[in-house]
Amino acid sequence: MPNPDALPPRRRGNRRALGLVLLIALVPPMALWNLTVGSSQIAPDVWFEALMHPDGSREHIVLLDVRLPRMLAGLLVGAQLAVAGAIMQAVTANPLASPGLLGINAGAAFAVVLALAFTSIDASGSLVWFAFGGAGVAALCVYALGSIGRGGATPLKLALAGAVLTAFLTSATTSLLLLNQGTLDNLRLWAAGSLTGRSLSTVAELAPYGLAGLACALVAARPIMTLSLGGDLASTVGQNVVRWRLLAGLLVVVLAGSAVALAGPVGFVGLVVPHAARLLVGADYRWIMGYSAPLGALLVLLADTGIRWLAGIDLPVGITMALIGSPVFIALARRRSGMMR
Amino acid sequence: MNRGLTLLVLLVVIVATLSLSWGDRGLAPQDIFAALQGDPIAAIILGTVRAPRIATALLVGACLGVAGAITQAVMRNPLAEPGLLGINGGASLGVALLVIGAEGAVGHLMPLAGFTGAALSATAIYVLAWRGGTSSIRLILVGIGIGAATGAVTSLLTVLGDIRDVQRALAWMAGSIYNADWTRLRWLAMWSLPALAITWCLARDLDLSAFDDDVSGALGLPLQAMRAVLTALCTLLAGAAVAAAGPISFVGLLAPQLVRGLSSRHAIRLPAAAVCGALLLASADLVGRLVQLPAGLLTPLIGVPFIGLLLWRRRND
Amino acid sequence: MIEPTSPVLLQAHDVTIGYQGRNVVNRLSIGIERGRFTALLGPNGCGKSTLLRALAGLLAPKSGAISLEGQPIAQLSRKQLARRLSFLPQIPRAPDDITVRDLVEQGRYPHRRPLAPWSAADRAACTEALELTHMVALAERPLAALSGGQRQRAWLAMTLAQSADILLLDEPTTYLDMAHQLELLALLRRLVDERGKTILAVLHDINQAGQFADKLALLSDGAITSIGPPADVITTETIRTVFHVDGMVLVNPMAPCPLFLPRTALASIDAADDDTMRS
Repeated sequence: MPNPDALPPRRRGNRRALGLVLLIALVPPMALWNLTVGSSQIAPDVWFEALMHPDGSREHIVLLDVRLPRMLAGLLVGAQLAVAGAIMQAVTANPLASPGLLGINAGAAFAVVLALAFTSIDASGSLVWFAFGGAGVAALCVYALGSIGRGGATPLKLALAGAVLTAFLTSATTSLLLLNQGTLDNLRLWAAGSLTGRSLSTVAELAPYGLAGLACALVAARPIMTLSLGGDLASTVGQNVVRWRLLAGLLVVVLAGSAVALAGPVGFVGLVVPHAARLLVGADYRWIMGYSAPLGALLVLLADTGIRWLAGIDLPVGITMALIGSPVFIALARRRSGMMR
Repeated sequence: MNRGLTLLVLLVVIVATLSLSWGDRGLAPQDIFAALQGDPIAAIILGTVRAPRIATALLVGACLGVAGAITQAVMRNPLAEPGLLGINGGASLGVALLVIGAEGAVGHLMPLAGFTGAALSATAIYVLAWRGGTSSIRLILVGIGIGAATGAVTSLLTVLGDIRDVQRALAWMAGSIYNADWTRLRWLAMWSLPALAITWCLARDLDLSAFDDDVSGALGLPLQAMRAVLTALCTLLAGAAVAAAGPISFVGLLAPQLVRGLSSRHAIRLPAAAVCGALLLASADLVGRLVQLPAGLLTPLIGVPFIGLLLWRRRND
Repeated sequence: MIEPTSPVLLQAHDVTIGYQGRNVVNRLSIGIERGRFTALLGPNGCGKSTLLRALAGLLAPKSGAISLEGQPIAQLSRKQLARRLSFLPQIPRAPDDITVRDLVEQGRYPHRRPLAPWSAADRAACTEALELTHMVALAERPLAALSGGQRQRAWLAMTLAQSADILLLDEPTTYLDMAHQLELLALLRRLVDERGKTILAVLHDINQAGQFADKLALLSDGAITSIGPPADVITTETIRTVFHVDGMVLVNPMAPCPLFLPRTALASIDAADDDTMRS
């Protein structure tokens, strides 16, 4: 394949657009596959039947009440976390930034467990605000911890601050679960990051936040690209760096927070997908963000479906992602550790 | 004698005395003397319950403090802690595998499983970070990666396992010193006291390890060999601690941080970190008895605000 | 005055040095003479630092041998080598909170046996190093609180406390203003003349090098293009080929060495820069 940067700009743009269309076109077949694989195989044609004329048969109920929300949750969570990761990597100029590693997922998850353990709130539409709050506080803490000292927020310091905060939040979450056995049994699946057990109404309640976040991210792609030049350079070209950093942070909080409220803390999507997108389109963050959304959705659906199809067991997607993602992360760390000081 | 160190020792004595006297049946200091002179009831309470417990807390805390000081020197980062070497993640995985995977009563094997898991995962991190030599940054990053992987497998086990087993595993993973007795303490001491002594003999090499590779190499430090030895010592200390008390986080991070100001020499820093770690864990255990929570859950709650404060004070360096 | 040649102390013979698949220095030989101040010069990315690290035993050559008084340095232990040869990297790093005195005392590491107490010789070496670098007044200050120039002098003091006969210095004048540069070079000169030290230093200013050093070695593309006394090395031709700079060589009215006056960079500098970018 010819080096994409060597092509004239117009043709490069066309190729990238074509690639994006192809990726988006891949999503529906993947979604359909996700719907058909499970404890009982259901043929695609039953699907259309169920969607058009639901007749209350067991198959139709399984499809509409179990598999459809699960698939939609996968789509949303994948796209949201991947785009959130891309934004974070752009804004912090940090190849390790992602909602999982920097403790934002853990913050959102802790806030949700806190709400479930100590309040009587259990509607997703209300819980999501706890997730936003937790994600926001965690993001602020990690950034503050990581930017102390010489050299500001270097990738290494941010990653360490994230690891420290995650350790703390995990320990706090465990304390809550230990004190309250009922919560433990209900939440251990969710706390590992899982798509199962969501109802269609939960998805419908949370989807608007995620979709709004994705739309805003697309609109804000250009200023975020400018932020990726680094603070000094971005302000020299006339950008209000403080305002856009805050907005970008807010976007990350909304995207990651609502994803956690939907599926628990799913790690590594936000780390791996933007890197894959960068391999495909180069360093332009507008395209990286565009590619990240369908790629993230595809990856989560693939992880969720593939393990059921291959092994026949139903693993929480958060665990599958961590098992796929940590070797990728280690490989990344081995290759590029020199530039992360 | 360093004044800070003296103060720390004094504090440890106070906390230890408080720990000895406080409990379901309060013992005044004179009761402790009575026990020493042979009062049977006081002697039973002290000898079988409280004394081994406080001794374990002190020794585990000291191990963690010293292991933390080693990690921070070898990884050249004030936020590094033994947990980054995979100690806690590996130990948790080992215990989860044992409790959830094996049949029957396996409680007595838990320390062994914890230590094995910790040692294996520290080795894996060291091997994976090797690329014609190790570097501090690679060790940290690979450590984070391995931590995520072991965590994923552990949570897989907690999802699939029987809820009662899961709860036992989680209770162990919280980290506590409830089950301390003389036998376990003897094991812990056998492992850790020689390791503590060897580490102190290497204080000067630790001083140099905190410099960058070229400086320490040019001054004659056999870098790779020393890093391997220090990593092994750290694994031994933190692994022994985890085997005795479960994964206890933040003591290894906080203790060396708190005593940094005393001296830049590890000959002083190491004992200070040990005493400070002992103080932290003994206090966490004491507070934990008051509020009915295991010490391992309290150390992060105390630790994190402390770390924030420390780093904030040092923000302009 | 100095004799024209002196026995070779540190010798690199036919060495090839590189990092993972890429060779930076190719089949190079150089002999560092005892009791001389040799300056190593060359354009960016020509392999100066790499050569220095290899001579300090920090980077094993892929082929060829480096020997200290005829003995291959690979046969010496790190401590044995460090007692005879010291090296100061370009950007040395230390823990943030270390004081100057603690830093300088680290220089005694190779001389101390495990658990041996601090000896009179150790104390004397540190005091002398602090005095030579004018750091006595700043000895108790933390390194992080010093200016760039003071920090550089603190590091040099640590290197001197090592009491090695050979000093390898990678761009010791980088962070210094002009006065401190001259002061440091004069100090190096004195160490050679009065203490019989052997110094190899990477320098950037060819005229300063000519003024203070006994010998200049020009390195380009990983090979020695020219080596000898300043008067032999500083010529318009050698500077044009090594640095891609056109200019004139004048008689220095203040010192018995030539003075190079640059006029313009030659076109081929872009090509050279491209090479470094790609690598």
